Amino acid sequence: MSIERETLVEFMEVDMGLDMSDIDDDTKLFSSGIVDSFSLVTLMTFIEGEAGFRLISSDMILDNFDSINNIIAFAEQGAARAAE
Amino acid sequence: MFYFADIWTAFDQTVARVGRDHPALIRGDVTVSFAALRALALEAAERLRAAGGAAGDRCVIWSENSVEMAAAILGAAAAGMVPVLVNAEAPQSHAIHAVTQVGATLLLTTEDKADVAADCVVLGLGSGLARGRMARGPAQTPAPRDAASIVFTSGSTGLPKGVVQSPANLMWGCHEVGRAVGLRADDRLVVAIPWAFDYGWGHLLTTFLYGVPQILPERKGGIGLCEAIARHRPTVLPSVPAVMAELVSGLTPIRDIDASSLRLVMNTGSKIPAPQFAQMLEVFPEIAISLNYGLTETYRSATLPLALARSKPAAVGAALPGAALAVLRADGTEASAGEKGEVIHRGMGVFLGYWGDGERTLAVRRPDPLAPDHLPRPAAMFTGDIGWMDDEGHLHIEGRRDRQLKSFGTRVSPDEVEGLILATGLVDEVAIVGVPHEMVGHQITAVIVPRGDEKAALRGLKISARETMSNFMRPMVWHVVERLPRNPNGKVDYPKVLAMATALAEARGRPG
Repeated sequence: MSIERETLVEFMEVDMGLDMSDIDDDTKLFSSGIVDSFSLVTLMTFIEGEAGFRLISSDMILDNFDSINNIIAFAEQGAARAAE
Repeated sequence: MFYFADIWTAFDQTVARVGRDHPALIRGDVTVSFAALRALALEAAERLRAAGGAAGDRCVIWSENSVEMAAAILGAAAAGMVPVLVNAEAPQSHAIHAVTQVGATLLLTTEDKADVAADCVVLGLGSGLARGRMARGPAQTPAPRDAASIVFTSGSTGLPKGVVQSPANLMWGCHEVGRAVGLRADDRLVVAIPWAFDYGWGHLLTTFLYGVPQILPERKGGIGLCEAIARHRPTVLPSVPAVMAELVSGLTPIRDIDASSLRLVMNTGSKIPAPQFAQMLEVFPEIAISLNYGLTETYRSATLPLALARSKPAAVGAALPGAALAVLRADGTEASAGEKGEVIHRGMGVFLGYWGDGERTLAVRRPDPLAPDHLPRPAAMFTGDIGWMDDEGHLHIEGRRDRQLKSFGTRVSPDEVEGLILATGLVDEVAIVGVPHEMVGHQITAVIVPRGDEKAALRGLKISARETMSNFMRPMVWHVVERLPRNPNGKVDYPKVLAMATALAEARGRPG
């Protein structure tokens, strides 16, 4: 499974409480300080549930979570890894 | 002599001891010396008095860590008032609860929160903004020197409680912790823990009373912490497992920056899980590690000697000099080594009570069962934590007697979260459980029976949670069920709910 952009955006809006009008697909979420570490863990839990793979310690790189595009790409890779 | 009359007098003596130009607080380009902080505090005291504040009044300070907040706390102390600390992340309802619970006459907060509908005078931190009029109630009862601070914390049930600590306990704890880990005036703390939590408050006291300069990160989270470490070269990092987990996880640039100035890392809140402990040692191979255990109600209960951190990472050590710890059996007698029971804290550190809540105070602050006969019994703190002592007299914590949870190192009352969720009218039933999670401790998980449309209910609940709960208490995971499991008495079967939520968490991310 991968993550639909629409599902992710809705999650960011409802669960993370972000104002999505300020955020495009390349907006830096964590390195810019828009999102705190609490929300980061919430996001990781969401990715595991939606994309159907378990995060491992080498996945814990900021780049994987730092924008909508990066999250979707990372979820695709992870889902492919899980399918192997 | 360690025991001064009050926090302000003690701070004044620190200024004289470390020197006026010694840095007190450092944030970005700004360094505030002890003399400058003292001057800001006296200005704050003057503003509090001008707004009608009198000695003995309680003054709620609702803010994130800042120079202005530090000055306001000291200013309240200088004016003989009792500072009441509320975390910036707490929702408005918590700040109002604090004002009501302690009968505060003043609330100081940042401009973005100044529209708070609290029934007292509202002052802006550091600026002239003021709203409301002082309506003097009955004469204030507390002598200002009895109550040094009030910090709000969650129990296992009900709304957060205001923990009153005495000046003697704060000064004792601050100095004994400093001695135990060998803090020096040429150390530099970097503090990412809110001062509104007891652990953060303790570190602010380390600056006020021990004279150790404190660096405030300019941004939140692990990245802000890394920036502060790289730029200001701190020597001591106080942490909780969730902060450490993020810092060493690969989600921050800690491996790319020069963090060699750090000589000591301190942990409290809960045990650092083994994988994070290993990562921490990999990032900081030479660092001294201080493992601790304490409650807001005891300041600091236990500390493990630095030399033992690597060989006994599961232990939290022994009581500081002046305090004592014991493990009690169900019948109230003292347990033998290795035997589990409730941990009690005796001697110095035991809080004065929860402000305005005699009933919940008496439930945990009880006559010391191990005190000698023939003397009035002093109070001991019944922690509700289950633990055991090893053969070397070091405490190990295993869990709780009640349902209290720990998320991001902070206590969460599942009962309070359930109450806030029920109050939305969007659920018929709710059970809150804590699923063990490597990074956050307990992952707050809500199992609900929604009322009406499931999707609309979930959306409403999540939005409401942001408005009524601090971030660490908000459910991270929501499960919808048709009904909650109940035991034969008709009560919610929490062990079953937890087992279900844990199984779902384990299945998450696993195919099939």
